[in-house]
Amino acid sequence: MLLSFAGIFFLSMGGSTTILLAAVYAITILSLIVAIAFFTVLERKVLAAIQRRRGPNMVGQ
Amino acid sequence: MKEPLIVSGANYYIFLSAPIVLLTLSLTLWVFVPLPGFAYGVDNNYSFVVVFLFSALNTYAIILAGLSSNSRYSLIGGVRAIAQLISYEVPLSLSLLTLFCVQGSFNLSAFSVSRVLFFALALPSLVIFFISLLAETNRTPFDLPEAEAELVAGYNLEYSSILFSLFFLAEYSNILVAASLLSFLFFNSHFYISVIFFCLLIIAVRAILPRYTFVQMINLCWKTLFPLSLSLFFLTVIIIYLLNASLSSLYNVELYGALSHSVSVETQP
Repeated sequence: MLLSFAGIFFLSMGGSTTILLAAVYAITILSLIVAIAFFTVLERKVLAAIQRRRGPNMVGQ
Repeated sequence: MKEPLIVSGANYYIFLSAPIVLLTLSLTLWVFVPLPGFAYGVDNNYSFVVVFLFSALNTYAIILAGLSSNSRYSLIGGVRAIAQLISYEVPLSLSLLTLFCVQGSFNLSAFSVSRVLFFALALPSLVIFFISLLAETNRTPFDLPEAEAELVAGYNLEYSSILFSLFFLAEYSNILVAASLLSFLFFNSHFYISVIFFCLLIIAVRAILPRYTFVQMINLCWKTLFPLSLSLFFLTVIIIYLLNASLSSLYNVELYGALSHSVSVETQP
């Protein structure tokens, strides 16, 4: 087990450990927000890909 | 609109706090999501119960948003959203209780899928869990809370700019949490591939399926999914009881429950 967030909740007074855990938690939250942003992009791309078709301007060619 | 607009009749602090509470709750859920290979998050014998606690608390943020907006449309949208969330909470938790009944523990990180019995019981509860997941995260066949045809916009009608985007951040965060929990519980050994697959499936469902009406949605929950998941749960309990009884009479061992902890060691890094 590399990382554990448990220390954030118990708010242990262990100085550097608490700061480290807080940093880990902040990085996790940041990467989560980025993941959510890319998930919305992915959703738009997939929805667009499903709607793709050969439109009227392409049919005769 | 770049600045959040606060409606004149709105209850200022509650109106402001509702999206913040919602996003905080859905980000808190990530503390409990196990990511195999990286982190196991908060890890105790009740982590599954706490996951359900936090996902159920989302309802209260929606109540706050609907009530404090001083708009009939958001109030009605909030009521509809709450009815949907509360209804689908039941089959969701029952389908997962089945799995945890086989497992013998609420501990998420000690979860293992290395049993034949598990797969036989997991398939129906996977289907039930996936359908309830779509309803819980307001995805398309069940996206009545934001059905533009009937309501103006649902409980988030009066919200604008950053407050509005907080609602959607929370919603998409919930989708990712649900997808990764599902992948962890049902496809433990191929976690990351499974997360990507279920994210794509949830997106594709939005493009493929039409929207249910409210009556159809409630009927699907209480007349189909609820009896199914309840009977599945009791069936599982009976099967495990009989297995335990027969095995303990044959070999004098307690299989499901005791063995599950010794088996589960292999899933921890």
